[in-house]
Amino acid sequence: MYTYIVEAEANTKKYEAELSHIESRLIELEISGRIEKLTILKSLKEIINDAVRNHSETVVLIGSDKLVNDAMSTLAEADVTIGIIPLGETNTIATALGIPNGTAACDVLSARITSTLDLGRVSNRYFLSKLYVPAGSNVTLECDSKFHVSALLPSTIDIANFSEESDPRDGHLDVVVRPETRKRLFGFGRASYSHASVFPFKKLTIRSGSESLPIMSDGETVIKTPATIEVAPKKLKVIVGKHRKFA
Amino acid sequence: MAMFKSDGSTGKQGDTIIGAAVKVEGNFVGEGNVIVEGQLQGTLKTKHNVMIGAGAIVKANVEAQDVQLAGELHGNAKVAGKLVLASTAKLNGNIETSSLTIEEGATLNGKCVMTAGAKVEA
Repeated sequence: MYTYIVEAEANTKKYEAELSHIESRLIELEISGRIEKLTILKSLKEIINDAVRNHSETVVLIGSDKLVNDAMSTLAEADVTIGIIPLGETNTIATALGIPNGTAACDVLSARITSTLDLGRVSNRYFLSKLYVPAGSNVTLECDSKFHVSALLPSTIDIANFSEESDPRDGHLDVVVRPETRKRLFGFGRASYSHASVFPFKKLTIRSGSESLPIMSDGETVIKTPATIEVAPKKLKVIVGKHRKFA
Repeated sequence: MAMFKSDGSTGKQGDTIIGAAVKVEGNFVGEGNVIVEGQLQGTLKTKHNVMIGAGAIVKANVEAQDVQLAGELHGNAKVAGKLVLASTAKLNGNIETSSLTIEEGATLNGKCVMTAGAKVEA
């Protein structure tokens, strides 16, 4: 049984026609199911837990990266397969998984190629793609309790599960340190970055001296430094497309 | 020696890149290739290849499959395959390798033992 969860932002006039096409295509492919639309009155966690209680084997998220990220902590603890129908402005996660936008994603769901992916975990919150720390000074990283990395210049930090540098099934995450070499003038203009450093890890502690820096996802602060981030290997079963960015 | 991409782009999935603006201290055991452009102090081991760039300073014993040295290495190098010292290389330490190339201008202060293939345990 399938449960489809529609992000509140996708449940608007702008996407009404596309949602209607999606529903029709799901019926054609014989993979229709219960459709839940997120509102202020319905929490995402509640809907996912209801789906699990009702023996849904597949939970499909219809919306943007934000919906996928928001759902991850609840889905990571549920014994379900995850599908995505990307709808909205930012869909980098679906793109990396080889899932096309809108109605075309229904055919990927129907083909049902699955892959079991690692997740990252920080303070009991899971993430699928990445976290980031804005540029700060005195940033130090302790990787797998074996070595320390000190940034010699103010640097941004990305913690990535999948990216150009990282495969989401390899049992580790990557921390990418990008030193900021040219400061923005009065906060305007683009900062410039020199060559990045990349360290694969299983467990990472980020410190930033006496200054506390935010660790962010989708523009929201998840936690502040100091913080420890770990890989949760093979934690999530996801339906992927043929054109995914990993083998 | 085609251990790394010639276009200057760095690494592939699983590689470690120590950029010019970071310093690494401790026992570094890599699972892929390791590219050092910054500073490293401690030990450096991998079953794959190590490239130490022209501006890099490594104060560590290094064990790897192949090593390409263009920067400074203060420590011993145990290399199962090929060790290449570029013209800008400075190596202060003993080396154990099965294949050695030294370009004109490189500095080597230490003993050299040629082996049939030093075993790397990472």
